[in-house]
Amino acid sequence: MTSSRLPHDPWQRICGLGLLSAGVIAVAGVAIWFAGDIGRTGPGGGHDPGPRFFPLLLSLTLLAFGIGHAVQAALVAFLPGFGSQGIQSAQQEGVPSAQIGWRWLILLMLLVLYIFAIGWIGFSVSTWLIATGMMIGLGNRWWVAAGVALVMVVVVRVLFVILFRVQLPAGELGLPF
Amino acid sequence: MKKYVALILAFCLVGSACQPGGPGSGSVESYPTRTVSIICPWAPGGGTDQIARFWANALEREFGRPFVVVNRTGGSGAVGHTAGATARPDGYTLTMITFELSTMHRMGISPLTFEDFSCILQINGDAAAILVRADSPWKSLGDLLDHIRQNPGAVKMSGTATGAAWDLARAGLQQAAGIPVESVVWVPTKGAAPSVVELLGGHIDAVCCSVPEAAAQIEAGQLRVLAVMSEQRLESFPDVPTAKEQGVDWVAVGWRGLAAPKNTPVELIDRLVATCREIADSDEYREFMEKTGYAIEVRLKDEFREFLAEQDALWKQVVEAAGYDQ
Amino acid sequence: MLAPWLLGMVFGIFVGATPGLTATMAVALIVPISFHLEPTAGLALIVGVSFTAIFAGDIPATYLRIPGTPASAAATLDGHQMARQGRGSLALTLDLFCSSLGGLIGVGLLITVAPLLAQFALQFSFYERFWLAVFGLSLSALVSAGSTSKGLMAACLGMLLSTVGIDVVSGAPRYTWGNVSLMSGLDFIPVMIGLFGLSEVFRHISRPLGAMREQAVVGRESLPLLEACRLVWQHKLCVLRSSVMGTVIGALPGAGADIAAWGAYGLAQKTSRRSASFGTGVVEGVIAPTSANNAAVAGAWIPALVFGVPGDAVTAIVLGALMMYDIKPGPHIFEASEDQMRSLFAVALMTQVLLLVAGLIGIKAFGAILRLPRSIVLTAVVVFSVVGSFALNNSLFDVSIMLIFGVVGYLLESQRVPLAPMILGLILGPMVEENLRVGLISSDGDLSRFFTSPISAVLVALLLLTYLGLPVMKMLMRRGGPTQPA
Repeated sequence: MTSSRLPHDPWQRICGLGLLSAGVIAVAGVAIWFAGDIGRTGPGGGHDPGPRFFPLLLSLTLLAFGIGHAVQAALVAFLPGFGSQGIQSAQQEGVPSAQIGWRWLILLMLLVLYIFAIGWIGFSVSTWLIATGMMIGLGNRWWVAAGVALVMVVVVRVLFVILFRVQLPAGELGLPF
Repeated sequence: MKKYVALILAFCLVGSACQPGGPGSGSVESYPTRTVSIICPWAPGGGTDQIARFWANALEREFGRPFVVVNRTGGSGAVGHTAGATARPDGYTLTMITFELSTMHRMGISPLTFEDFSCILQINGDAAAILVRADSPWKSLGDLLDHIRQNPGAVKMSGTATGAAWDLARAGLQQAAGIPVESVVWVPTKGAAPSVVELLGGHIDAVCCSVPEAAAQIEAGQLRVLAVMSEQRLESFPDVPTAKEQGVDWVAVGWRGLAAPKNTPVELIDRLVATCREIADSDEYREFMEKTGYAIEVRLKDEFREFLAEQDALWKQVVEAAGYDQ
Repeated sequence: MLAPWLLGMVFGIFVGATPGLTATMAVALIVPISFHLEPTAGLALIVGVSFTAIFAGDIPATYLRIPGTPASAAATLDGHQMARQGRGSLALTLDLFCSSLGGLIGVGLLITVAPLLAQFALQFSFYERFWLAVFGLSLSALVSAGSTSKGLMAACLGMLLSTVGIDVVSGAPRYTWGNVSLMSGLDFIPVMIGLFGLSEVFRHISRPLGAMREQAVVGRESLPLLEACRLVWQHKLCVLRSSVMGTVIGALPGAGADIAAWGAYGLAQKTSRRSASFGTGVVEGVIAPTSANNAAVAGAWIPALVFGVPGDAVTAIVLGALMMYDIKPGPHIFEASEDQMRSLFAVALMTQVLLLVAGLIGIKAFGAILRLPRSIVLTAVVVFSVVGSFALNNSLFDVSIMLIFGVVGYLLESQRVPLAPMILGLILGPMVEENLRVGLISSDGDLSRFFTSPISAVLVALLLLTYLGLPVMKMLMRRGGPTQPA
């Protein structure tokens, strides 16, 4: 499987591994740090290893994995050719490859805004806005986007509000929908 | 294209800057205008869950709006009770409060007490019982207690999580019989049903739970009831002797009730109490409780509150004796 | 009677296939309606809806890599690879046939050997359940594509996340920082929607825009019914083995369709002649988990009927409804409610046949929606992810959780960390931890009890075999020798 579209620059791989290990080590660190706060508030049996045992065990294991990946990143950086076999086999196994782009960050920011907007202007309006905006951003004409978004909002309302009787947030403006 | 997005966002911000009208709180007469959830702090399929589902159905029929049971389990009932007590006091979140509310604040699980709720009514009260396998050597409560006395730490019992209703019930029983509480190893499980399975599989020696929770197995002759911790013998199981008859002066009743978060408008509570009283008096309720074997014990509103205050004091002393207090 | 039944099942398919709508919601909604029908028809409606959800969850798992239920997570491997190769319809038709067959075998076992299986399930205590959970988790980490260490790391991360909330054994709050929303722990549904649904949108959106407009998610394909029949017949042993395994695992209290699916996948991989190419769109990789997960639904009825212990929320609601039909769970259910049981079984068997019809409608309809332009499908996924995670507990907190895990899933996947073990870790973590700790309490701190019972010993041996067998298999694969002894 030759992938000409996704060149495997070793530096990209090192950065990826480095970030991954940094993230994992950070999560493990936080978990270990706050495990100290877990108290024995409830009664436990005499032989129960306690509520702290499992989180500590898991976060220490994670820490080991994180360090392992950091070492791997260092090996890739300093030993040319190390681990290239692994990349090929990973591709053959069909792992979807994705490079970290930037467009998703815009969507993420829109979604964060959306969550706040649900509380302000209610579910229906904010969903219509976000869906329209997203479809325009993905290259649809504005009137197509607005129309399809309207259909989506109606479908969601019929499904959830009428059928499943879920109370969708109305927002603080007191709009009737 | 980008300008459309910008336009929309601007509209969104302008919209948000508009005067917030405040959430339209529905009036008492129109209650309920949407789905009401009844939080059940215990797992699906257990006694509390079954009763909660009956009440949800009954209330749904009375009010003409969906009442759904939401199981929020974990933390010896603290999770569900906390979710119920901290919900918005608008009548749209009710809680099936149970016995554990009387004890959890003594054990430092949660600061919650019955005072964090507006009581609606008590709907049931089941006495604890001690069950063993039909092939077990213990024929009476005395046999079992003697065995525990002679072999401390040998008998394994289960029925609930550590420090939950039936654990405290058996702790109180041991205390009343003059046996140290730690002579029995309590194996925490998620509830009576899984403990009964453990008992049937021979992995533990005895189960402490209410009789109806194991009625099917008792009627099938797989389990034997040694004693029931009530004032009088149960109507549904007249052959089972009480602990008092066997010389141990101890009564333990696990109660269940419906409550709303505290500060719920009084008119709303009164409306709920009125409707619930009708349901509690209905033949259908009696029939359901008879079918499932649970005992009806109804106390309305303030009476329920007084009962809860009494329970609070009673269990304080058991929790302290068992060394569970924080 | 047939019309509401089939209609209910199509409804169940639709609900199960939509990210954010859960089987629990579908069944809870159907139960009150069923009481207006005559008893058998009402029973049929409930059983029908409860049996469709898992197959339905496989549809988005195959087409979009968004599993509808955790039990469908295994379908994101080979099923999705087949869809990427343009054989999505074949994968789903196969999936449907196997789900139906698995259901038939499961119900068949339920009818014939339920009391026996119940006896077997009684042998499982804390020690055995501990190993079973570890086994299911290990398989999901080991058989997922990508490096083994990353799979195990994902499983660890999922388990660590599962410790958030009030500890069941001792009642101590963990990692809650006083937040009530965190007390009951992280619900797996918003996490799953985020990890698989939203992250998939992030992934698509970061690709060149041109491709997005032109290419639909699903091509126009006809349903290859004959080919699917032929393939099922070719792999009949695999179907049978997976279904029996699924039923047995489903019958154990506490274990469910998720462990069954991964167990069957692992078993199929070990016994297949093509084990090295599992994960690239192999037919057995679709057949095994899908037969097993639907069989497990039938298996889960065994403890529910015989002990009154439902395995999950759906079974609990079904059980409550059954009592309304005068079916009282208990050890003598087969004698005491003979007539009702007979009609229940007839309904359950018939449901598996009807599943074929409802399933084909579902595949067709879902495929039609997915032929819409990609930009619309992605937007719809975002909207349904948000509403679905909100509707679960009516809280925006869950929506935020969904969003966070969308980012986490996207970033992890970009580094080729498989996500299925993470969600399994979140679901099975408590089972591992509680059974270990309660087992220690029960055995007075004696660890040897975890190894001495026959079932534990077998499970430990299987586990060792899985861990030790894997490097050997990978080595053989590298040497280019695809012939792997069974």
